[in-house]
Amino acid sequence: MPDTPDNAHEPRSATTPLTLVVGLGLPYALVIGGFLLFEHVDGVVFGFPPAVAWLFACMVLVPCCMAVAWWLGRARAP
Amino acid sequence: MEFLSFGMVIAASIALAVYARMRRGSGNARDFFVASGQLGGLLVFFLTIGETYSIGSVLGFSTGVYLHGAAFAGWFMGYILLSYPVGFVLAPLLWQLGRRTGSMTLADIFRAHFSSRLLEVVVAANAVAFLLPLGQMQFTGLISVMRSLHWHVTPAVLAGAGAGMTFGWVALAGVRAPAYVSVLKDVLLVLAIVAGGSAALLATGLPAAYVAAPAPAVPARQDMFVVSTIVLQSLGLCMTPQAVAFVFTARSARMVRRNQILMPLYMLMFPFLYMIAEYVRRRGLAVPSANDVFMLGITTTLPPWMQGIVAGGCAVSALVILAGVCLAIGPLVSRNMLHGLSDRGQRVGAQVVIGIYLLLCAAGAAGLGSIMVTLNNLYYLGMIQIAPGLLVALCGWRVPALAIAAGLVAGDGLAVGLYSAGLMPEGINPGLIGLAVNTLIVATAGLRRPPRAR
Repeated sequence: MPDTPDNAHEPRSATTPLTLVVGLGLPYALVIGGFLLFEHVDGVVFGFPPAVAWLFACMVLVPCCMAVAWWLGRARAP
Repeated sequence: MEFLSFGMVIAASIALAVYARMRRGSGNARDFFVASGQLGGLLVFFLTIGETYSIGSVLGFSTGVYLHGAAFAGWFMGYILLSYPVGFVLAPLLWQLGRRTGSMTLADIFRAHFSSRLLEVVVAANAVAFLLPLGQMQFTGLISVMRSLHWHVTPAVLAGAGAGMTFGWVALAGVRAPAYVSVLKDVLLVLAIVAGGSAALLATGLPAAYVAAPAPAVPARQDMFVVSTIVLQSLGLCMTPQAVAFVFTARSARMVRRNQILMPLYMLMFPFLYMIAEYVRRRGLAVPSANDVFMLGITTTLPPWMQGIVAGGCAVSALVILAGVCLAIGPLVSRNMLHGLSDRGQRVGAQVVIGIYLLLCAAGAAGLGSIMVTLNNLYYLGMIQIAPGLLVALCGWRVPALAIAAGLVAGDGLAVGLYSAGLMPEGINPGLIGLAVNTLIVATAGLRRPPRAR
C-alpha cells in the first residue's frame, strides 16, 4: 500500500472558542453527563444496560460533534 | 488447523514489514523514528488508533466487563472515546510545534521551548519509567492468548519469540513497520471480534436472554472515581510519547485533525466485545484466569481456523503496540538522555536500547501474573504529569523550566504515593490529584514571573 497523498494545501479548520465548545466541551458533557444519568436508569436497550447503550450511541454522536466543529472552523480558516 | 491460520497471519505481518522497508526514505534518524513526517492519512490513522485496538483493550475490556459489569465499561469506553476530541484540539498544535522546532520526540519539544537540558532529561526519564509496564503488558497479553489455544510453548519461549520479532520489524523499517502491519492487525481484529461477538449472540439467544434488571445503587464515591479516571486518561492518551511521535509522522496538521473525527467510529467493535464477555459470564464458563475471558469466548464459539486468526491478530496487535513503545523509548534515551550522539549514533543507540528493553519486558512478563488493568492505571498516573508543561509549550507561554520539572516530579511522587498507599480522597483518581498539584506549581511560577521587557 503506498503512503497515500493528502491535500496539504487545503486549510486546516481554525480553533475558535466556538469550535472548542462544540468539538471538545460537548463530547465531554455527552459522555460523562449521559453515563452518570443513565447509570441510574432501570431496563435494557437492545440488550445492553442503558448507560452502556448510551456510550455506544456516543461513538456516533462524538464524531458528529467534531465534524460540526470542523465545519465551523473551516468557515473561520484563513 | 488453528496453527496454520496463525502462521499465515504472522507470515503476512513479516511480509508487510519487509514491504515497509522498501518504502523507507533517506534512512536517517528522522526517517527511522518519524518516517520523515511523510506518512499519508490512512497509515497515520491505523498507526494512531492502534492504542484503541491493543491487546490490552481486547483482553482488558472483556475481563473488566466480566468482573465488574457496566461501571467498568463506562470508564473504559469513556476515556478512549473522549481522547479523540482532545486529540482533535491538541494534535494539530503538536504537529505544528513539532515541525517548527524540528522535534522527533516528546522531550525534544521541551528542550526546544524551554531551552533546558535538565527539563529534557527529566521529561525523557519520566516517559521511559512509565512506559516500562506497557511493554510487559503486551507480553502478558500475548502469553495469555497463546495459553488459551493449549499449545505446548513455555511463556519464556513465547516472550523471547515475540521480542525477537518486534526487534526484527523495528530494525527493518523503523516506524513504517508498525504503520503497515497495523493495517493487517486492525482488519483481522475487527473481523475476529465481530465474528466472535455475533457467535456469542447467536449461542446465547440474545437479546432475549437479557432480562431487564433494576439499576444497581451506585455510590457517589464510585461515580467520582469513574469521572476522574475518564478525565485523567482521556487527556493522558494524547500525550504519551508514542502518540506524540505518531503525530509527527503525518504529512499535514489538517490530516491529523481530520483523522480524529473518524476514530470514534472505529470503536464499534466494543459492543461485540461486550457480548463476548456477557456470553462467558451468563454461560458460567470456567475462566482459568482473569485475562482469559476473551479467548475463552472465542474458543467456545468459533471454529479452529478462526481461533488461529484471532490469536494471530491478537499476537500481532501486542507486537505492533510494543514496536510503537520501543520506537518511543529508543530515541528518548539515545537522543534526549544521551545527548550529542551523531545521526547514526542515535539510530544504533536506539536499537541497543530497544533490544535491552524488549529483553527486560519479556523476562518480566514470563513471570508476571497480575491483571492488566493495574498496569494500565500506573501507566496513566505518570504520563498525565507531562500535561502542564506540554500545554505551556503549545500555548507559547513563558514559565521557568525548573518549575515545570518540579511540578512533574511532585505530581509523579504524589500520584504514585497515593496509589501505592491505596488512598483516594472522595474517590478521586490519585493521578488527577497529582496533576492538580503539578498544575498549581506551574501556574504559580508562571504568574510570579515578571513580564519580559519589550
